[in-house]
Amino acid sequence: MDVEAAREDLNKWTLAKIRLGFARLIYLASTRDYNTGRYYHDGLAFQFSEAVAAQALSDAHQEVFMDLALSPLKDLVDQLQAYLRSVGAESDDVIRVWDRLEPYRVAIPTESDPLTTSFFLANVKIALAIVRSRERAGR
Amino acid sequence: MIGTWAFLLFGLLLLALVILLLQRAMPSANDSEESSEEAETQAPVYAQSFPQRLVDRLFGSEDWEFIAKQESPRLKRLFLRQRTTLALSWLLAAREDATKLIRVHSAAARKNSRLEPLVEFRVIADYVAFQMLCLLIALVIWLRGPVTMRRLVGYADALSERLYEVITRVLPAELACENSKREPAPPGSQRARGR
Repeated sequence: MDVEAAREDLNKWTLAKIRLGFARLIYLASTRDYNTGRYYHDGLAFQFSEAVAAQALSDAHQEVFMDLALSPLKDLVDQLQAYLRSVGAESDDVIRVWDRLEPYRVAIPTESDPLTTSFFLANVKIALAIVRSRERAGR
Repeated sequence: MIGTWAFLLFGLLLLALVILLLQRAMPSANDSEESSEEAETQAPVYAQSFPQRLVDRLFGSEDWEFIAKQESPRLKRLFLRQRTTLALSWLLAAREDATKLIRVHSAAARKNSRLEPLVEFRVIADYVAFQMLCLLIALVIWLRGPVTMRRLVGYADALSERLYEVITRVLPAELACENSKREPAPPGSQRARGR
């Protein structure tokens, strides 16, 4: 019950302000400690408890990931293009970095199954190639 | 005369394939110590849960139609290569799950004094049919990619579901109960077993 309330709070006060699915994914992944995999959120932990906040963040992360990973490829391309434009840097540079370093790998929830993870990674690679060709054509 | 020989040869090949599949499904004599048998009998009988949406995306045509519109041969090749790899991974996991299931069943059946031959025959028939269908799906994927195979995959899915149901129905109550307790319902999955 507490976790549900924490999820509602998270959706209402934080995630509602983040419009793009990719941005939500990156935000939720950034609340997770790289070494321990534990999720932290000061505001939520203060209002509920550390454990409840961590569970709410983990659930939200998994949900956002699944929505994005299993969305039609066309939607994923649109989402990715909008996100790369919203970053505020030259989209060419961002695409190059995403292509080489694959920073989106750290945005995958720990609990996701290997096949869905591979599916997501493969789709992002294709989406990047399409966004790149769209950006070139747009110039 | 040639037709009869070809028919016989095909029958023998089919028989060899069935025996091979059954041998792979049954635990070998080398690992038949009590402890491993115990572990096998108590192993959970649930499959790896992949969301139904993933299977629909993987074997559906929507993404392929989008890629075809891009008019880039390089993209098409990349897409088909990736999806073929993913589809074969799914198929491998599905076959492994079915084999795991039949092993748990045969371990439990060896301890059961009241076996029902008809049910046992049905389990074996379903398992062999499922494995044959998987081989057929693998062949089609290998030849023309996984796109627009949703119906065939759906049929394999239904067959594995039936196998799962028949086996869990004849498993000892405590094992079936334990397994149902261990079965997680992943968020976003449409049914408990998931695939």
